[in-house]
Amino acid sequence: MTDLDAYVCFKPAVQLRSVAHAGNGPVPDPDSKRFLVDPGNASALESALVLRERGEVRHVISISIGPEAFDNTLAWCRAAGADKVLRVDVPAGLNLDARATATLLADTIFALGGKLVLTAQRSIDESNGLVAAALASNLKAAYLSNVVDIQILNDEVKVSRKIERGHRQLWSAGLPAVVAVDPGSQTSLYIPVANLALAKQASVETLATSTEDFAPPPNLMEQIKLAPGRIRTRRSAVPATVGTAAERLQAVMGTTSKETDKKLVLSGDTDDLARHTLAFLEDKGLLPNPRE
Amino acid sequence: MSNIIVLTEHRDGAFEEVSFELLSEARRMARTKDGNVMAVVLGNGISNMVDELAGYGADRIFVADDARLAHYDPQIWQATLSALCQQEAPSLILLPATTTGEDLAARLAVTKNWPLYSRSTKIKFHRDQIQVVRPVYAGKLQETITSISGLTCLVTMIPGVIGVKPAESNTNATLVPIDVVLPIEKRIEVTGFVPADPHNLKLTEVDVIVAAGRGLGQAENVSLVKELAGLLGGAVGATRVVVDLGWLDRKTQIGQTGTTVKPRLYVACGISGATQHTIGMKDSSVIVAINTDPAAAIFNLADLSLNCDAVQLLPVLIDQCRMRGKTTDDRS
Amino acid sequence: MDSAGREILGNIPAAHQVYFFIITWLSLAVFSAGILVRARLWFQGRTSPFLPTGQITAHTFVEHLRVFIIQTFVQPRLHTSTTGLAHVAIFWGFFVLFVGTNLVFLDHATPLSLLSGFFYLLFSLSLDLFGILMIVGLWIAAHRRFSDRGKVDYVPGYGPGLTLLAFIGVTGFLLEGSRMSLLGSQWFDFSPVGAVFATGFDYIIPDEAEKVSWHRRIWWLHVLLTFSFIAYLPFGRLLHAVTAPMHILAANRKPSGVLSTPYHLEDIESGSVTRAAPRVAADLHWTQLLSFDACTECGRCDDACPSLAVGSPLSPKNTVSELRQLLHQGKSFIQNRPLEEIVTSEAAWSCTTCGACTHACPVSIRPMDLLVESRRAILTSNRIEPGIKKTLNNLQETGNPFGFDPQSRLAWAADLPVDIQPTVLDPGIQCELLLWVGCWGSFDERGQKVTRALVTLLARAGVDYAVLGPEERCTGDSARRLGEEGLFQQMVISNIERFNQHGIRKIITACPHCLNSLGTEYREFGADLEVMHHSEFISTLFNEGSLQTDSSKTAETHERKITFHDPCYLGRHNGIFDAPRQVLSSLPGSSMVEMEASREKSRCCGAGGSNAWFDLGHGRGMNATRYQQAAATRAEVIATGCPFCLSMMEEAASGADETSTITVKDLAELVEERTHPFVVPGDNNR
Repeated sequence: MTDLDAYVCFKPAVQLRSVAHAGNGPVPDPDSKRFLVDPGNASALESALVLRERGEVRHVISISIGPEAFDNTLAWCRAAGADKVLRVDVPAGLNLDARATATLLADTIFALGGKLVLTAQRSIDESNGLVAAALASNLKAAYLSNVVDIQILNDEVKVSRKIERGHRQLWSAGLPAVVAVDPGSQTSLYIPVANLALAKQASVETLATSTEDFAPPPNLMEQIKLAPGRIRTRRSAVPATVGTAAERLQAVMGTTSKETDKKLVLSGDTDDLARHTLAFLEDKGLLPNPRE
Repeated sequence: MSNIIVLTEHRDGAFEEVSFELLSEARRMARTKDGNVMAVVLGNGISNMVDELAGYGADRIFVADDARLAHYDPQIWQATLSALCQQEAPSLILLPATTTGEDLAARLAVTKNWPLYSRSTKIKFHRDQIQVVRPVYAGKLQETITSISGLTCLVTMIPGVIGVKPAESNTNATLVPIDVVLPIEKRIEVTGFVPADPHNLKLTEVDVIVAAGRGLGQAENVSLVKELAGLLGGAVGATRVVVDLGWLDRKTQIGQTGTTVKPRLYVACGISGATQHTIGMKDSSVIVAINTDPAAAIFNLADLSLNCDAVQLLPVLIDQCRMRGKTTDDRS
Repeated sequence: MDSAGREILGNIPAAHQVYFFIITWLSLAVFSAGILVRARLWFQGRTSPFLPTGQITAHTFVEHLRVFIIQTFVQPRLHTSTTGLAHVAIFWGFFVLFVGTNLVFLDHATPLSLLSGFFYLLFSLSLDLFGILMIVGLWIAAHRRFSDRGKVDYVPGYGPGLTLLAFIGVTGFLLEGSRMSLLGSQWFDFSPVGAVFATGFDYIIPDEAEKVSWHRRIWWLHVLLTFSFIAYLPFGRLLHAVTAPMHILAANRKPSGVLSTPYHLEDIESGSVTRAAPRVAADLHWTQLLSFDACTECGRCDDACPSLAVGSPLSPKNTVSELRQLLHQGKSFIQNRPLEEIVTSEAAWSCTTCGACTHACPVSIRPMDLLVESRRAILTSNRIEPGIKKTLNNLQETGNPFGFDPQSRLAWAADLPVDIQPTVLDPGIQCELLLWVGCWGSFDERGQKVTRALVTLLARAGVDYAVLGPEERCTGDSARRLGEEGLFQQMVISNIERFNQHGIRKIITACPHCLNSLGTEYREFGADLEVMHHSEFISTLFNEGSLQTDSSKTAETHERKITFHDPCYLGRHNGIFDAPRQVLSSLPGSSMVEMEASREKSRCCGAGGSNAWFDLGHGRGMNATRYQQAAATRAEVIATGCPFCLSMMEEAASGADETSTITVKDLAELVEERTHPFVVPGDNNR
């Protein structure tokens, strides 16, 4: 019976459904901002639960750095089956960047004697992917990224990493180790609403920090502005304009069929079409290298 | 001094497209500041292919060709790259936002305490600072951020977004062999590599999917789809109707009741574009659709719409694809 | 005639009568004990609410009684097969004999003298006739049992009870015959069967003294057999003689489309309820546990199940019978054995909630409800199929099962001409009549066509209505069918709030699932909505003359044949069969044909129970089967009134033979094609 516990780092991710327009440009629409469980964290938790089922870890402990509002996310962890949930209390509005978060997490986990940490490779809101590496550095632990499969045997962590084109790399490391789980790897965890409501009845153990001693590292970056996203969205969100229903209808009518450029449908000689297609693909860099 | 280091990536003896994207972008930026572009190639048996990089604007090409670099070992690569940075003091290090690039960038950022902008889509110099644009909130918004620290910036860029700028030969490009630097301590052991089974590619992991729809007419024509998928290095997908007819296995099903995929390229052959299917592939980067019905719903989503019979077009496409491979080989 | 009657226990000496008395009461004691032991097990289940039907009012009580009388005594669901009719015969035979025996008892034990005069003659005749009826029924049953089909199909365990019953019947006639032979009577005509036996008796045993002793022997045999039967009843398959009527009386009488509400979410949130989903059998309602004992394993539910018919692992009959076996294992199993171990998840997810099993069951068992309960149990294990998870996540995040941005809910209206565009409700504006577009009608390309056809019709008829637009959210039907009761209730509560804000009371919808949810299930949460299917509304429009058919639009020279596929949620669950047919029959140039299995017997298309959102690999099964039935009518058009049915039928059509020219249309589209266009003076761009 192992005495290795798995610590899973959690933070609620902000999900936007629509974008609002403020005076100086688009901002996250406060009405559509939802705090949800980050899918990457959920994958990490599920991986930890699987390890527990296999007997490779003893307890699964969810830990979060944040204000009281984060208790909801931890309730989710409890409903999902975590043995224990912990929150390191910091005041709301304290804008901790990745390194600061990692420092706090590392200090806490070290103090609790944790040797194995699972976390998301990146979160869906900020998605900078730095926390896991920084955490490993602070804990003097091995940092294993993009993991899809974990096996722990005799205090050795063997992982399978997902890389491009469906290949896998196999790494192994001793403890302590920080495993960053690929967000797509586990897909079956779902917490029914009622179970979550039940889990929220229990209180969350909170650890206090004295933030006077804590000096977050200086911010190295400055955000200038936000703009509507354009990457890969085919059906972009219609901005939630504040207006009457008629205006909203106008906005929809204005942007769907008339604004989307009616794609040109090509027809004609098969050879020509084929050639055109290949040129199109080549131009976009989608054809494999001829030598492959 | 605005020197830029670009970490290239290669596979199976050829550079990944993203390496050229980063190099040409670095060239464009370096020109504005009169800086140098340094390409870095780490690998085993790669010395023959590096000359190509000169054509994309590299001033110097640092090559470490060593058996220990055959597979990505985070510690060795970090140590080697780190030593180079120590030596060259770049203001910017560009890496591809691939699993290797991201992993390496994160490690460097943490060790050196340098700012990291991951998964960026645009980059430029803004006065004396590096400014990048990157998607946040799952792509709903893009943020523009500037480095204010004056430290070396690490930036990873999403492949396929900025595109390769026209190549310009640089006859002054120098090849600089460098040694592998071994790490002081090794926490991670690279124990193996498991290549993907070409017959068993996971739809959610491949870059290219060629999908079969009812419009193909009969089960035999599915072989055309399989062939094209093989040539493009991708996997085969299917609509629900096709799977129910038994033409393809259930695990190839894409759509509401199948898998949701986001490949870089999705080729829809004889697929009408009913919602149940498009839900599963509408976020693909590039969609090519082939259908005999000019009003097919799929054409609303496609980047390239071909109104013809897939059964006629696919064989021609396959032939031309094969020819392309041959002619390039002949030329080289 | 007044002198008609007979002496009870005439030939039985007093000492024997004492033994008889003891046997009677012993047998009744064993019977009662047997029933009580079972009852204790039923009451391991939940007792609140007392009856799942909610409040008992004078009206509901009368309704209960009415259904009880019909199902118990008329047994209409059994009339369609020979063995079913045989059962009716056995039942009536037994019932009348049972009443008769009790009358004899009363006559003997109380001062009442019922069995005399004309009544006695009637009594005697009835017993004879019904006795024969029972034996005939038993003979048919035995014949079936030993036939080829019976050897495969039979349900074990009925042998002993039915054989005993047959012997009781025969010895009863022997007894009657021997008595009549002994006593002689002028009223033989009123006991025709007895008379035959009496004659035989006279012939075989002419000696008077021997007649007396034989009569006694036969009497004792009959008594022993009868009271053994009574004592044995609770322990064999014939327990259903007691439990079936009990269940029919106590059963859930809510419409089949209304699933149970196990808790209210606010109680969970406040902490007063701590169990969110059933985990073990004890978490089910006691009437459900009773229903397991009421089941005779007749298999009508299995015969009706469309999912089983295409080879899925779901068998409603096995579900109930396995739960009954659990009951037999006793209290600790009822309280501890997880439901998931009894109902496999493959079986549970294969159910389309079509309700055919519920409508087929002669004793009011609702296997469909049990399957949804087990889905609720499975969901709490937190691990589910990716397709189901995706749907539930989409519902939570975007308010529709597809995952589309709710802001684009009006996209279907984008290209509509000004005179057809719907009015979109502004916040706070009151609304007389709401058109509920539904998720499919809003987002799915095929669905959008139906929506556009419907709003065109409404514009033509000059109907004053509005839509919610981007405010509209899924009714939550899919969530409830999947077993996610908490999510369903969240959606219900927020929808009701929206309705209240706009004062919405009257709704039209083209989707029967929405109709079912909004119109019936939402009632339990305080909504009082009048919801109409678009076929009903269009029918009204035709009757009023607001919509007129246009014969000039029929280009074809022949009459187009249309067949209507009854959606389960419109027909079977909500009783709406005629409105769509009225609408379709009114269309010029078309004639209607009925498929085999139509109206209440309509075969599910396979998409219900949220099966549309995930794929268990049964493939073309259900929709292909239904499509074949439609094609067999040689209709050119399959009309339907449900988005799921439409999608499934179209899919089946495209998967079928290329040469078929059957088109699948919603009835709104068919009506739109054949009614006068709406003309606004000066507006020519259509």
